[in-house]
Amino acid sequence: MPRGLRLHTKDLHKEGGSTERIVVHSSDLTEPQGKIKISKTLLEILACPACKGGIEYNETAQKLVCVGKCQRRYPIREGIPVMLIDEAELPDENAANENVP
Amino acid sequence: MQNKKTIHSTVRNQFSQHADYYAQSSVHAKGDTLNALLDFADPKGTEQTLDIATGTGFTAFALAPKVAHVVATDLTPEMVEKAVELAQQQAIKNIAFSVAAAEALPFADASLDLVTCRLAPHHFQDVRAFLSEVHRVLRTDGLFCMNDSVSPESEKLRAWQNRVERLRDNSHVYGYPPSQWDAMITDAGFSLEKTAHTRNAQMSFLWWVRPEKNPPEVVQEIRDAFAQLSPDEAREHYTVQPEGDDFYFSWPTYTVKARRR
Repeated sequence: MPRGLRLHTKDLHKEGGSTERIVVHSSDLTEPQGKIKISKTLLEILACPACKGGIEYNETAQKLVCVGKCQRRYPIREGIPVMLIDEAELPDENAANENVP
Repeated sequence: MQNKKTIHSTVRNQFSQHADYYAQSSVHAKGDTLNALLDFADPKGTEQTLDIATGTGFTAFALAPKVAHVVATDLTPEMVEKAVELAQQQAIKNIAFSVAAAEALPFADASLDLVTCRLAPHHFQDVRAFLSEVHRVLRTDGLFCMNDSVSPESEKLRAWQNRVERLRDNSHVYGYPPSQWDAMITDAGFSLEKTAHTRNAQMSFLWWVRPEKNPPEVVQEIRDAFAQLSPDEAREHYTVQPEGDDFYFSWPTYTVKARRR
């Protein structure tokens, strides 16, 4: 499974009243602020612009979180990932700065 | 010299106010530069593609039907929002967007087959960092196709053009001459496969100089600077054609096809 993608189940209501349980990617479930989905293809290749670590999509917080050294948290605004180092939140300022060139 | 944060903020201020202008700009929609870039990229349909500094998405939209998928990035959120809107209007499905800086790309190493960038690097704060990042995100043998407005090789005209561009738009950082692009791209770990001297579309000076944004004294200073060019310089390098109170001209552009080593 691509890094950063979580699988969920969802009930698909079919014609005639039957229900089928299907597995979907988290990216397919979310349409932040009703605008656009976070593309699955994009999530597969995203990396942290600071430390180049992997990125996980935190659906609840609506953040893209570095799972590498710096652990920066990047915002999603209007459904668009904002992958700018200056706009990211630091989990622990001292720890993150040590790991970024 | 402006520092990195100042340049990024100047660029974002400039472009955040002009997303609609760029969306309607025939200079960015047409001209030799788009066709030259597409011709050099010559996609096979399987490419994972990145278009850097996409603006309102012209290059990314032209590539989308020819590749597997395009990610389009820009430093300015307002430009990306406009690009998203236009992609939805055009029902382009194989495209995704992200706000990103060209000098710190948010993509994994060797994750892309094709990277494009058109009419933008003269706004970048660090072109060498940009090229190093393109090299990192491309797989070995991946293709980098770029086009930018360039200055002539002559030192005098290089200084003239960069001064004029900065007077008109302070988000202009530097337009390199083709020889410097060749050297920087090679140094970054690419093999040059093709290059072409191209031009952007012929523009009206009175439109280009943005009198609605620049005060009359700045417009006059830029007009005076054009008047200081010799007739040969004006014609050969900038295709200047007088027309009443106005004149038409174009910037030289340079298109490059480079293979990641």
